[in-house]
Amino acid sequence: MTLHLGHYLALSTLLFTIGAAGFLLRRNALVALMCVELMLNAVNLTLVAANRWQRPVAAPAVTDAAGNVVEAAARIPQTGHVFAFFVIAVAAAEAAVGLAIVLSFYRLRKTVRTDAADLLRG
Amino acid sequence: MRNLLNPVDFGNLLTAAPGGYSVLGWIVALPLIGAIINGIWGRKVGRQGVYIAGIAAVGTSFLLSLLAFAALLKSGHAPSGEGAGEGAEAAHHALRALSYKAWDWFPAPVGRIDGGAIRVGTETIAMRWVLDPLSGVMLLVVTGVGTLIHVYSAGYMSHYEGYDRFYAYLNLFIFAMLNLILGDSIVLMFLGWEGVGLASYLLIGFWYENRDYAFAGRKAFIVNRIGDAGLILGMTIIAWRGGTYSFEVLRGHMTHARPFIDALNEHTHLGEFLVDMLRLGGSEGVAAAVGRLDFTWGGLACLLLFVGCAGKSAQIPLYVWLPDAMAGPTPVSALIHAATMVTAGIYLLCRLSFLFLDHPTVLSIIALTGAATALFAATIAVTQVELKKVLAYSTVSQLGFMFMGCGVGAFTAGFFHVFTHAFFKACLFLGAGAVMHACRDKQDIRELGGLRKYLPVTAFTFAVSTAAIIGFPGLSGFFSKDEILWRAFTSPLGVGKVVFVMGWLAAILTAFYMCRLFILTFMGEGPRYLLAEAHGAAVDVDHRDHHQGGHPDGDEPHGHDDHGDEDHDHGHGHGHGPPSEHGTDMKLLTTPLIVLAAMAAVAGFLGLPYAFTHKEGVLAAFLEPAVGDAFVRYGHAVMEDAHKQELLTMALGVLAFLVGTGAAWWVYIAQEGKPADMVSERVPGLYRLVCDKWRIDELYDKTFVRGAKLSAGFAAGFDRYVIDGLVNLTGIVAMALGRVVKPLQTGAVQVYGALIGVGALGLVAWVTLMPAAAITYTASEGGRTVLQASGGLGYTYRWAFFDMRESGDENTLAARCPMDAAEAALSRAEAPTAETRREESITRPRCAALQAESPFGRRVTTTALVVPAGLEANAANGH
Repeated sequence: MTLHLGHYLALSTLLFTIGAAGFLLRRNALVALMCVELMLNAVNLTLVAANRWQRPVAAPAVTDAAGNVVEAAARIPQTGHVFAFFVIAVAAAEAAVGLAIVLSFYRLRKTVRTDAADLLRG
Repeated sequence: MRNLLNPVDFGNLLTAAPGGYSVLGWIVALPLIGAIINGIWGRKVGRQGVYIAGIAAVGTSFLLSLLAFAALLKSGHAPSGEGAGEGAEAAHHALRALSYKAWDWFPAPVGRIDGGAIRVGTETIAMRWVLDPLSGVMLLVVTGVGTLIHVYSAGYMSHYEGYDRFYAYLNLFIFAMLNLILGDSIVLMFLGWEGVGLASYLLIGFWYENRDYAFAGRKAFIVNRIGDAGLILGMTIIAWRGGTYSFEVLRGHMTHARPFIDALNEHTHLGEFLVDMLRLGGSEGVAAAVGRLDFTWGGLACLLLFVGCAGKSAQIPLYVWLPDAMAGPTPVSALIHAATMVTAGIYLLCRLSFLFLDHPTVLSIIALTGAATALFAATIAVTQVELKKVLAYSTVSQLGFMFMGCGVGAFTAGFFHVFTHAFFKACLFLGAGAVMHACRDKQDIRELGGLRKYLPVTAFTFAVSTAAIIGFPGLSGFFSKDEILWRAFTSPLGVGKVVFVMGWLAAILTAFYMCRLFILTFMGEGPRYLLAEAHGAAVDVDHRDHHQGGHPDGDEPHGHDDHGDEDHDHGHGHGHGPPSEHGTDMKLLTTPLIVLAAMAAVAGFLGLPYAFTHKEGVLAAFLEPAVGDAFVRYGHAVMEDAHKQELLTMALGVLAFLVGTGAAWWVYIAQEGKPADMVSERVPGLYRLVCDKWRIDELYDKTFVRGAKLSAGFAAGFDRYVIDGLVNLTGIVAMALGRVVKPLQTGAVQVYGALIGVGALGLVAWVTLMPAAAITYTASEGGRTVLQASGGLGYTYRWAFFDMRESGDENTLAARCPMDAAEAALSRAEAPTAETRREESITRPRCAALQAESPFGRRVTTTALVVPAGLEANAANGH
């Protein structure tokens, strides 16, 4: 069996759904944070896979010093990979901030349950 | 700033260049330095330190003033070089003057006359002080009397806290006053003018814990603001039409700059406007009177400036603040509210005398106002029972005399009275202060009496000053008052005789009430409050019920505890023994009294009448170049005539003195006060009315104050209910909306996450479920056209083409390619396909119809007008 885009998208959807469900349903802040990571990684997987299976882009015609038109080779853009790196960087920062918040919250309330954090209730 | 800090050139002090006499800078700066030291570090340097700093600052300033005055005398009649202008005329009028510029302050807009039109130019206002004869005499009075009163205050304040604040304010006052008199421009003068107003306000309300005193300070400040409004308007007119802020330059403009003279002589048409308004109102007589008013711009400026002067110098109708100003400590009353600040109005009139002399109507108004004030205030003074209140009304009355002098064109005579009044009135106030200091703050003359035995020095100096103010022949007040009366009598102005009669009556009353004051305070057996106590009569112990003036003796913490070097004072002063003049603080009080009394006695010899010496008085001759005089305008013949009547008016003056003094002697010594009681019993209504100061304060309360309060109340209500209401309304609306959507804010982050998820899903569903169709095309040469359909994932498309409809003017897609035609064409079209790209050969503009069907079976149709390449310009635009 050869893998194609559909397999990756299916896996990614599965991971995202698990993450989303976990984030929405679990009351442990640490677990919620891990679920956020899971969702972000599902997105990363989509990005990388989509980058692999995208249509090659024709490069624009370039003229050399002598004035001859040089046809550049078609290439695959690496946008998806770059995005994935950005997401990883942001996820790392988010994890740091999130854990710090959880820690502070724990010091205040001696719990990490998210339903204890409702000070902003209207 | 650097200039100011230059070291004084001691080798050159008396022969300094006229434009760079830096001593002036130090004279002004020293009191400010004193104010800063006392204001900021007063507590740190302690009582003695404050006294030394305060007195040294002003004392040094006085010594430097003497030096500067000597330099001024030495400088001779040389042209001042700066600003005085050129030409023979200017040289003749050139003042002897020394000046010093510290720095340029700011550029101010000023009128420039350019071919008959007034345009806006700029003039640089400088921190520049000028010493000329007028400011020189005033400078000596202010710093000299100021120094004496600073010394006196050291004794007077020994019982009170807040001495550091007191000295800081007093020094600040001297600084502002020096700017007022030395400032070379109206702007710098105005800075000083407002500065002395501020210092006056602060010192009247010095004991601000007492509500009445704080009110008195506010009253003084507000009444002065009314006058200042006039002053500012007058200044503006002068800057606009006189073309300058500088006194020197203005004088030059008024002498030989025709365009500015014309600009100031132009009619305001304000008079005509008023006449028209009055005619409309049906008062023909008033209209005629108003029509005669000299309403040139210059006259209006003078009138407005006079309003300012009347405010500062307590003239009708703005005099009401001065009697209340006696709430301040007595040295303040002597310095600010008798000797110096209140004479600022007369000083300004003298400074601008060359301008006022051009406007006889305004001069008449000034003379009448002065005479009315002199007489009116004198009547009130007759009935007052508090030492300081009598002296306050006396001051108002004497200021009236000064305005009388200025008003009849005798500015030097008016200023001469400023000069002599400064000494005798300061002495009287300080004497009153000494009495109060020695007599437990009692100042009701009905409770005092016989003090000449207990306070001989005070009694003697008080007697000399009283003799001076009532015109005892040979003392200073005799000469200065008689000169004013004589000039009023001989004035070519129509109002001269009326003014003379009013002034003469005021002089009789002055003699009467001052003698009454002296007799009741110093003559007789002894202080009546002590006699009452000795007889064991249970008189009212809380004497504060009797008087509103003075200062709160009981409320103030007395200073005895924090300085042990004055413990020998405990037996008297504020103690409960009989009053006496022993002890250091009484020494500090009496020394200035002796100096002032001596000056009050001899100051008059600077203005000996022409009738005795057959030449002008020393002071008048000295002031002449700086201060204008009506005699110069009216010519030699008028002056010759006037001199013939000098002895007559002098005799009348002596008569006034004799009548007033004799009446007082008869009433209070020969008859022991019985006639006074009889008068108050016979005509109780009139007596009460005068005693209540003609109830002018009540009148103002009922009219202006009440009106102002009503409008203030309205404004406050408008603010509170309308403006605040609008603001609160927005808040209420926001809060109501907030209450509606409040439940959505659960504070639970996972609920928010769920809502975001639901929203995202909804968005995706909307995009996928709503069918969409759009056509884009690329036309190439030769009719080859590539059409692109867009709908979404899993869509199928049907294409149809039909002819464009010609529909006249209407040039829209719906008109060119109507939907019904599209549906008809599509019904004949081939089966749908998943292909989004379609190639067609189109050589003329045609309509394309696209029917897209979503994977959920929903259809949507769209049309487009396809124009082949090269035909876009003339094709109908339906895209």
